Amino acid sequence: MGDKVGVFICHCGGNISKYINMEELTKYALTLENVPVAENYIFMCSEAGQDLIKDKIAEYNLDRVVVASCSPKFHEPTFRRTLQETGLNPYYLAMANIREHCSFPHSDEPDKALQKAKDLVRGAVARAKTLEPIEKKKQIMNKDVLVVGAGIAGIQASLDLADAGFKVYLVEKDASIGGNMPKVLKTFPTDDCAMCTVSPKMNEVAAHKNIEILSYAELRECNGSMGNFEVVVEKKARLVDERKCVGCGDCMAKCPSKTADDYNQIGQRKAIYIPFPNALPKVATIDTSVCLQITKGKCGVCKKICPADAVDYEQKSQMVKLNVGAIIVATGYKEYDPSIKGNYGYGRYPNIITQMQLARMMDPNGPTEGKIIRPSDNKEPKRIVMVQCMGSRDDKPTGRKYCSRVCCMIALKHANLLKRDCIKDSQIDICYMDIRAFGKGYEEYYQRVQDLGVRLTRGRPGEIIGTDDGSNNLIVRVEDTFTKEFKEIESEMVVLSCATDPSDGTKEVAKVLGIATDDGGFIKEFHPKLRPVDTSVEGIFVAGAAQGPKDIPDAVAQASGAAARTMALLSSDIAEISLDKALVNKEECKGCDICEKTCPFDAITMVDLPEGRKAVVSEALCHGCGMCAANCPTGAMQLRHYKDNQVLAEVGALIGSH
Amino acid sequence: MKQTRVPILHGDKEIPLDNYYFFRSCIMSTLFPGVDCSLRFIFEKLGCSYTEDPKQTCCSGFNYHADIIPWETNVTIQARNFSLIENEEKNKNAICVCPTSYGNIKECQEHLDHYPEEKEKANKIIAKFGKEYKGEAKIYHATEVIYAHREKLKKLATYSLDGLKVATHHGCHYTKIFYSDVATGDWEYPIVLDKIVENFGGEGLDYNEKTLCCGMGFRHTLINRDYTRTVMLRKLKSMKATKPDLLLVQCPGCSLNLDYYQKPLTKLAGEEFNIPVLNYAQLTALVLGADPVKVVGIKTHNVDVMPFIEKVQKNKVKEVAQVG
Amino acid sequence: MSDFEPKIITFCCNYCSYVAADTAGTRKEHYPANVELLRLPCSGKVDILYILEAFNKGVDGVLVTGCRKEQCHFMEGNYKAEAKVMFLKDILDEIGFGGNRLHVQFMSAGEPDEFVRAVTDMTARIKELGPNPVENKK
Repeated sequence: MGDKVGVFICHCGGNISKYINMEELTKYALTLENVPVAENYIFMCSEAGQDLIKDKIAEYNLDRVVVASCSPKFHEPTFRRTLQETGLNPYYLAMANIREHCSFPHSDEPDKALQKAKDLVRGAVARAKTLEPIEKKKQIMNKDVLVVGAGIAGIQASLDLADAGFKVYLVEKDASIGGNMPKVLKTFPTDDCAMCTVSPKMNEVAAHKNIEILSYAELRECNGSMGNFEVVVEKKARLVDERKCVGCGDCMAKCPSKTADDYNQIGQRKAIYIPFPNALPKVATIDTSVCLQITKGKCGVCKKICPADAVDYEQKSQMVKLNVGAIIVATGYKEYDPSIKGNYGYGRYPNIITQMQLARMMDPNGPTEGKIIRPSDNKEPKRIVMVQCMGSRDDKPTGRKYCSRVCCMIALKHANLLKRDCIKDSQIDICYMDIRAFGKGYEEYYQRVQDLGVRLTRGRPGEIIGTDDGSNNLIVRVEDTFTKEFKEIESEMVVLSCATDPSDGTKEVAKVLGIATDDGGFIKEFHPKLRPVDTSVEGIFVAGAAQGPKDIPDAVAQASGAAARTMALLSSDIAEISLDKALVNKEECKGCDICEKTCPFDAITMVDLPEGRKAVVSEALCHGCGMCAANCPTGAMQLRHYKDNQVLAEVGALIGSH
Repeated sequence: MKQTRVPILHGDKEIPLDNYYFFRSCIMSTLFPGVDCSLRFIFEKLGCSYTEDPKQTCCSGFNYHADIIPWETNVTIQARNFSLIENEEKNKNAICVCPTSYGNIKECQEHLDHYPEEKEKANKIIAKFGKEYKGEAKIYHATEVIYAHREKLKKLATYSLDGLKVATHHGCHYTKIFYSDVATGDWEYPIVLDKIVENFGGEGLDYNEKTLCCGMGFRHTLINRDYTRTVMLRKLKSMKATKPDLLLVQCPGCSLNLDYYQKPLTKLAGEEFNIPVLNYAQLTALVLGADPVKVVGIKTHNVDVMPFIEKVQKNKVKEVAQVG
Repeated sequence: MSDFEPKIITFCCNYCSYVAADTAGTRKEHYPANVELLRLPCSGKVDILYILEAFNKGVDGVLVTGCRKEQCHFMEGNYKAEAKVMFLKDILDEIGFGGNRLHVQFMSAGEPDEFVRAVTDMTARIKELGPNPVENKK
């Protein structure tokens, strides 16, 4: 128990003192039991303010400190540091939030604000007296890094880390690394070849001595904490020996079984496949859901034909255990599935495609060899309508509330490429709500596209329907909100600019790692402005579109940011874990296992000890939520820093004089 | 109470399989009495208990949507209707025949449940004749109920719709007001009627103007006839392009428009449509072997339904036991 | 009765309602000054003991605030808090204390309006109920 509590009240340069009488509050604090000193100062968080706290700690031999100031969300770390510098345990600090919770909202009632400030200070003093020291557990820092997802963000982060000398395990779910960037053909606003940009990076990753690629592999388990994560990665069975396969493609040519091409999203691919010519690793993979040898037990053509004898139908998936100090999640995005919006007809009318499908058509190495053809009759469309905000900025249950950021520029890029290169005499309409050309050089690009004669109609189309004349043409119904005119635009092909959804991998990885996601299912950053690449779990960072829709420059910048944050963490040899976690009092524990069932993180296990069955908390797994303590029937389980006596002392004192 | 779950956009919803309160519709009961008879016929075949309450009043939805009566009146009328449903011993699941009733009474219910002061106000009025709304009524649409019973109905079917093409038209007040609650599929492209057709072996057609309004538009049909007829014409033309054997509708308003005005529109269109129109309940009763005249009530239809019925009756799956 | 100022204690989750309250303050939104806030790491940490102790000490109403469904930082703390509050409400009703002196409200960190509405509504509700009956008998 602390018996010398110092109370330090901050004016916050008037933010507090303008509404609350500082002298009254200070005088009141001094009347509280075990408070030998109370001071007020203009800025307690300033160096002079902190020095004042330090001086008083020394002068009065204080053993607990209360700071009444702004929200602990801002300066709790600051004042904890102050305490630490005087030799006091940083957890001997209690804060009274008299700014956000008092002077600001009650600025209209100064008397009541003062009364509430007194209550808050009284509560904090009562709590301070009960506070106990909490130490930090030290562990040797593992310096290896796991990067999940090998799109452009994952590749960039891996290269940055590997160049700095860290060992990187790069895990990719798909058969090849590269992610979505190789598919998009050109990148805005420079119209650079995307493959030419990303392919050298892919090769660099493959050749780097510090990077180990685990492709066609998925993250299955993660235990431990910052500095010492233990992860399990499943290397799925390709049914092809990666070391033997030379990527000649003979098997693909002869394979009799076809299925929808999930890489190009149009056309078909074989059951044994290399997703694209520049794939890396350039090895074949067998799709077990359509392979005749696997499904029917007869075929074996690829095995017979393979010159390297690489095909192995008996291959089993492998579980690989890795120990790493930090994790970067770069699991990317996928295109929203527009078929769930029935009024846009995707999936019902053949000539409605998505922007990604259009990009694949434009690719000279793609399924149509660069020819733009409409799926119904393989003819070149002359009239094309693009529909923006397909699923984005839409608060209906089928839509996404957020702006997907990149679709405006993708549509403009494709309109530009169509008009300049592919179909010069085409008429292109873009129906949009707002054109958001926010990046460097984007607005200029938008202007250039308008100069090409691309027609822009401001309005979100209500529906897309077919024509009755058997031409397979389409009618886009839209209100031009500039002219307030209802328009029916007839077109030969419609391209939907779909919203950006978090990839399936993003959702799965978030679950495995136990990191928080936002409403849209993207990984939530710790702080949107100040810690944009940190996740809710220490030692796990996020980069690229896994965190939210973004374009390539932003994804790459964020990846370098995440790599830098990872390096900063790993530059220390010791991983310090704060022990403000659950703790069992073995004598009171009756072994009922309610806490074990309550814990959402499986951090509690029941162990049979000589003195009986007892709960044991893993400090590495405990997140410090305190649910176990709230449910413990005997009070044996306590959350440190929020022990029952600490909370009850504050409850009692807050109510106090009323 | 027996229940089943049917899919909605996100997840599914529970539909009771018994104990119905038959919430009748003004237009349906007067212009197409065969629909009420068909529903009775279906419920009896299914062995479901149901109440037909002579005290139930029109939901007044038409008046509300045509801006003729104030909202408060509408809400109070519903409070009274709900009190009748709640007073039922067991048949407490209101089954609306009409999408407008469904949308309107569900909206009133949400309003009453959300604003206690409004509920109090309505209750004060209906207390004058000894009624009280407590907030227990459950509301469903009859199409959902037929969809929920689909497996049993398929077993009971006398005829199949094999080889028949059916164009469907869903009611806007079923799909667009409580859009998260629409059984099967997306409210922008509802398919519950198509599912009923497919269940009996028929083909639901995908025509271009499938989601276009029937043209009624409530107040528009009263004040802006030319506009509503233009919409109706576009709808019928698009439908005709796919050569349907039948137009299946959900809503009395749509039935009225698309059936009664097909012939008057011939002149404007310069072509004959001749698409017979039936309601989901009538089609189901027909497939179950109901008498086309006495039960299905085709005599009150404007476009002759007999050609379609003859086609259906060729597809016998089992011996007919005529029920009058 | 009209000048009765109820004392209300609000248990806040560190990740949502506490931040929502901070933002409400930063925006200078006014709400009754008789609402005291107590920070916990998660609404799931709210112990029935804390609520009963608060009532025993004479508080007139207790508000438990947590994250919106599916948004709990610790996955299910908010569900646990809700279950506890519902359980305790029944008991408070049974003993004649009144379960409606206790309330649970969910909000996200980005919903300061929701916080203001919750505490304002709570104050109005408790004003109607009058002072803590236990306190009156003491």
